[in-house]
Amino acid sequence: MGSNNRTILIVIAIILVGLIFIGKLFMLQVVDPSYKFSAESNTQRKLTEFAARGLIYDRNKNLVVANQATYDIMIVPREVTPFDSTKFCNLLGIDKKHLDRLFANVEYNIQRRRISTFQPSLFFKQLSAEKHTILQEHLYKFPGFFTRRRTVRKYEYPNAAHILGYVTEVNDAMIERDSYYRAGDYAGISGIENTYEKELRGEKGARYILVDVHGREKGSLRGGRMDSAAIAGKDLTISIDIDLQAYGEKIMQNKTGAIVALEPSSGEILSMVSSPTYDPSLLIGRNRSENFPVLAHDTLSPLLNRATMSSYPPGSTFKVLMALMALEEDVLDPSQRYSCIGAYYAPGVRVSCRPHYNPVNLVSSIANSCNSHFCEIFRNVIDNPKYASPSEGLSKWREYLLSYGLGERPGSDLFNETSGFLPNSYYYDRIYNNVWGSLTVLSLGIGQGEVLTTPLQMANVAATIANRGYYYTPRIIKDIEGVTIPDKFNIRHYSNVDSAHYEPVIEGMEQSILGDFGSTARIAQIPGISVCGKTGTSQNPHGENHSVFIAFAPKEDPEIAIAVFVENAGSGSSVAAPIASLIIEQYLNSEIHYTRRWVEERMLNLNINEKIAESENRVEQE
Amino acid sequence: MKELLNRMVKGDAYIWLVIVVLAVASLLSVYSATGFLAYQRQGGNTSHYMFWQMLSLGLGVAIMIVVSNISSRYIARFSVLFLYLSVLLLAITLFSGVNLNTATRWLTIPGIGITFQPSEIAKLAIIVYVARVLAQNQQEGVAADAAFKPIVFHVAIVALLIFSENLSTAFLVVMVSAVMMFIGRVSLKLLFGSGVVVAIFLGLTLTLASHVDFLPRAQTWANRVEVFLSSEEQSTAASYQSDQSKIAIATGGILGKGPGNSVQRNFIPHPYSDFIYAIIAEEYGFGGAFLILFCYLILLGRVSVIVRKSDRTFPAFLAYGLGLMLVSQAFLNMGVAIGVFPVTGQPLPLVSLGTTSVLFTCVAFGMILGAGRATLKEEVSEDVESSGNEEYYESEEK
Ligand SMILES: [Zn+2]
Repeated sequence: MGSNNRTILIVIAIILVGLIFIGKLFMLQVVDPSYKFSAESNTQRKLTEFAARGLIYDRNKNLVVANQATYDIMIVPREVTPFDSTKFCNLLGIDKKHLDRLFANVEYNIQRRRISTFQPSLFFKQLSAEKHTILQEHLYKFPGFFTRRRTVRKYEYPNAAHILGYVTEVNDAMIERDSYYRAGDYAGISGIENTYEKELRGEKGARYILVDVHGREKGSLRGGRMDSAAIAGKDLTISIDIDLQAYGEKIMQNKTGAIVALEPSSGEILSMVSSPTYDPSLLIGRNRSENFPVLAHDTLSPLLNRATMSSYPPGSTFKVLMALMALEEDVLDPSQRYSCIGAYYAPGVRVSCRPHYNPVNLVSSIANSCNSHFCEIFRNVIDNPKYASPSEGLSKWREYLLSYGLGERPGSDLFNETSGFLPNSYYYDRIYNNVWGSLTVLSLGIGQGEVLTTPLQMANVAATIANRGYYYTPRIIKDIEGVTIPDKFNIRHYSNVDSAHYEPVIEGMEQSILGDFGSTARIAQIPGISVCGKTGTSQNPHGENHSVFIAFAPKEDPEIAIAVFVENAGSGSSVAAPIASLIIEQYLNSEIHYTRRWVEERMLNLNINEKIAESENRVEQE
Repeated sequence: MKELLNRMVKGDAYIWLVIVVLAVASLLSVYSATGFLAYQRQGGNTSHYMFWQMLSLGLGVAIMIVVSNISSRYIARFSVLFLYLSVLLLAITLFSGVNLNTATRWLTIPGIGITFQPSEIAKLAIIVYVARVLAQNQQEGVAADAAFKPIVFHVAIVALLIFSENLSTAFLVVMVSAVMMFIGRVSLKLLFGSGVVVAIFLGLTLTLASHVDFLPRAQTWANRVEVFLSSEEQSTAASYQSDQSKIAIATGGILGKGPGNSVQRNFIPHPYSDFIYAIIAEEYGFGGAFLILFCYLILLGRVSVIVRKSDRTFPAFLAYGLGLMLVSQAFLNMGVAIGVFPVTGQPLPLVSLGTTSVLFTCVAFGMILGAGRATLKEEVSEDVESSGNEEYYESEEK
């Protein structure tokens, strides 16, 4: 047939394509280096080296929080070959259904291109060290799987759960906020684990290794020059005395409430109990998913930190603040005697008092917690002729309280704080339609009504009185390895009351414990220690009153200031005062005097939660 | 005996050289590329797949010799039967084939249990048929438009049966047939017209397929094409293959890593078939890759020589069509490996692992050699069947 033009045309076309191919080959193989570099990514595998979190010590250098090893099982989906799934399940301690779920999850993530079939990704979390040892011997039977060491927390004491907080896997929102995190990283979610997360977490490292096609490690990439070692987190020392903390938690068992104990000279928190509490070990590792919902659904809310998050009316403990501001305002003469007739009477108002010696001066009305006298004092502050209206008087009143840190968040390094509540005149204008006076809001003078305070705030008030007029922002941190603690913790905050006015008030607080019949807190007497305190009974519209007590000791050079709130426990003198005295005694003397063992015994055995449950049952039955 | 062998194994020496080079390249690269697969599936017997390929190639060469000795008259005579048989097989496969990799391209022969791809037979059959119809319609100075209708009709049937499962093979069939008609002097007007029709048909089908789920593979095509078109360098699962292939070629450099030293065989899916060219480029460098490409160009060159020397139209068209098919397929495979074409599943003729592909490639080579042998013979002595011969076919038609 011979060749025609068309044949030549086609041959030329094909030769042209061949030339293009040769050109492209030449570009790829000789000229363009880009694909040569990306070749490394195949055989190299980046292994994240997780940093051990910083350890946490208490103020006496007792190790409180340490680390323990767990193992994550990683999967390289492409390398997985059929294996004995029963055996695998047994080694992991899971059932077949669980395994199917894990694989379904991997498949889902591959489809969504969230993970690569060629790169390792997390398959199973937090296998215990014991199980890991056994698994390790059998791992060669399961190609495509390998393990990765992680550390989780280990709690040396079953205490201080609310202070320490917990560590768990970061969520998407946290990854978004902080580029340091990758899915699967751990971070402190609450407590000081959260506040000092940046110090505790350390710095992740990376190790690059070469693997062969069977996933076997073949040494490090470029002799390990690209590797970076993980840097362990910084160790923290916290201001808590772990023994005192344990004692406080023990004494608060079967009761609902909170204890906050501070060192007045520094603002360091010595102990912060919120009851009911839980063992922090419950929220480690795989147990967490089981235990967390149980704790979260408990009707007594053990996860709630009542010391900073619950606010209560301060009750009669508030009287010391009323006395201080009245002295500063010069509407109260400490030596003036006041005659209590068993109640405070005013047009349309009657506030009853308790039996006590009469007449009273300032010291004895604090010691005896005379309601009548403090109603009088409150009215003198609000209706002070210096001010044009009760509204202005109330503003002044509020100003004093703010200077003690009430009505606002204390600004400590605790994870969560609530501000409590201080009413202002707008608040009453709204409620009483602009028509109100000192008598309308009289209950404020004795710590009832709208004022709400947290146990931390009241402990801070006790510390301010102990210091005769100033406080440091409460804090839990004592020392961070190689870092100075924030300046805000070294600033003295002065109250608006002159330090000279504290003495009669402190005298009254001392007399409430040392005084004669009628003194409210005689049970808080500790041999050899001069304790100054004030009881309070916080009215609770939902049931039995809350028992409140604030105190500091010793009177001169105080070492501890404390606030105790026990819900539904009745009067301040019956429960909160003895508990506070025990904490003070334990802290200052490290033991309870034999004459006071009965107090300790009684507080340990007191089960208020059960009583309440019983009475609730009775109500239901009726 | 030796005499017999000599007489049998004749034909174009260059083509034989190409066959030998490709077969050797096949054994070396299949051995290298299947190491991992063999290790996994054959209990560590790393040469399992190479032996299998060696058997296929041996059988293939035997078939090649036999086919090259079949007179083109017989081939022409049975072309229609051959075509309808393959159409039947395609139809059976389409409705009952083994579902491998979501493409029902495979047919299991009952009783023997061997799976093979009928599209490989159909590919050959349609080219033989087109060559025959074109040869029958060659008249000096006249456009061969009479051949157009039967060719288009049969090509359409075959392409339609193949295309839903194997788009690239259907594409090759249509393209090679079109080029053959172009060479066979079918007028350009008709060719362009049918080109437009095919384009419209493809466009409609792909649009429709993205809405209706009647073409199970359409999604895969769309994915492959999509990934190829997006020039972002992110290593997603689908662009992974071509990236890994390019890495293989790039790291091969000028000199290559040496036989058996491929690293990328561990990362490229199907390194022994779709991406075998990448493995060759990696292990034997630019030189090796060039040699393989050059082999196919030589094949095309020799086919052109055969065509030019042949004064009978059917063997010429046959050799040209088959040569074109083999070279196009090879270029498609190589183009995928070097990243010029989107990922398709075309094996590299005679090199990729796969018995069906090797055997039918050998049949094609056999027919090309046969055509060449005929012309060579004519060169030596103009004795047999010297009348050059459209008339001969006309008479045979009765
Ligand atoms: Zn009184």
